[in-house]
Amino acid sequence: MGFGMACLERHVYDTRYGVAGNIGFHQAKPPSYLDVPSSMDWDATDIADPQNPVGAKGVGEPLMGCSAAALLCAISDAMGGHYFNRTPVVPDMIVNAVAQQPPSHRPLQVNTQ
Amino acid sequence: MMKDMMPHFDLLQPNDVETALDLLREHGRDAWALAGGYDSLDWLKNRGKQPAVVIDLEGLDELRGVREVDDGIEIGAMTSLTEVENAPLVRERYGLLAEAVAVVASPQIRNAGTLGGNVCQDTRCWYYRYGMPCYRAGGNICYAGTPEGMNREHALFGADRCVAVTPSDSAPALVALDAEMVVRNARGERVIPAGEFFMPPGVDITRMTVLDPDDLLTAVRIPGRWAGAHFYFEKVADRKTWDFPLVNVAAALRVADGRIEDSRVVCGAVECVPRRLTDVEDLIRGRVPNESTATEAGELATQGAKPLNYNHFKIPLVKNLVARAVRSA
Repeated sequence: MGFGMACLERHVYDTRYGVAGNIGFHQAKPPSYLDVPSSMDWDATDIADPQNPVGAKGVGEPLMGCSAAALLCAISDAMGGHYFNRTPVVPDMIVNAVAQQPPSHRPLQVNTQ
Repeated sequence: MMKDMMPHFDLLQPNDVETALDLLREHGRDAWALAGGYDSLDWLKNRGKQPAVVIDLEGLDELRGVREVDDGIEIGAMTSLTEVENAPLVRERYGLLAEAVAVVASPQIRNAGTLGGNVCQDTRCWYYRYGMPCYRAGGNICYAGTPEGMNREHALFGADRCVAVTPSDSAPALVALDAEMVVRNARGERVIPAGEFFMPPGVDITRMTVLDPDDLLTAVRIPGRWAGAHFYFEKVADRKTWDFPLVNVAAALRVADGRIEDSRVVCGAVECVPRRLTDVEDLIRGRVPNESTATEAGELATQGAKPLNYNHFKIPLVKNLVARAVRSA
């Protein structure tokens, strides 16, 4: 989920005709198990959550932010510190940034293109 | 629009090629030839196409397998992509094709999808697939080419009313290997060079290949000319597996005494047909495949490109892929 959010899952929408483009897995692409590392490590910090009366912490969605952030940080690091300030970061944005071309997405356009 | 429902059709399952060809002649435009089904079922379920008759090619065993012929090899059109990838004849002599089919879609799709189906598949332009009445679908507008069109995956070259691109990974490899397409119909057989097999939109905007409704692609022949040459294939896509190319490049190069004697360089997903870069081939002939040759080749490869709103990233991509292909020699 996190990797998909960071690098794959975009909304494609034609504003003139009001048509959603990513109605299939060709445009909205969740990562398949061949797109993610076959073994991943995890660890728990074992600190009780102070916001919760029993100290419990969810293990579903909160992790999405971590993995997306980790992957986006890795991309920024590989590109010498360039950051995109959005999700997802898809290959055309990386190619444009490396080739020092203007991006095709507009400022503050997040999640869409 | 009713979606995701299989419409009614008559399913015909011939056991030999002659019967299949007779059925195709009899039903003409009402018929749909079904091979692996990965492109077909998409169209049928979404009711984008509603053929009265579907002719299942599954029973045509003579269209399967990789055979050695006089000058090179012949691959049956119904051979699955996995079989093509693993065939010793293909791996030993035409590693380019093995590499190309190995990156098509996902392992499951490669097990059932056929080589013939991969080269004949329809374009992935999402407006067209969605069922919009565009030029290709018989209408009078190209939605992807409009100023607001979402056209990240579309063409840099050769747009003529339609800006869709060829989605195939195997097609550029076959063009680079000077392959020939064996096409049969009830009247006989003809052999078409791979470079002339794909249909530019300026000639007929409603189809992707030169196949007529009663034609059947039965085999692909690859001549010995490029056997064992130096090959380079690279595909760039959003996702590592199960995706169509944003750009792919297939190159076959003969190198002697450190110089490129002859070559074929072909790019996919930048035009409606696999784009053979003859200018690049002429430029690098006789040259040493070093950094400056590679850079020049990349620059030349993108000359004349007309980017749309969202696809100008394909220009540096093509430059780099072509440069890498040349540098690898």
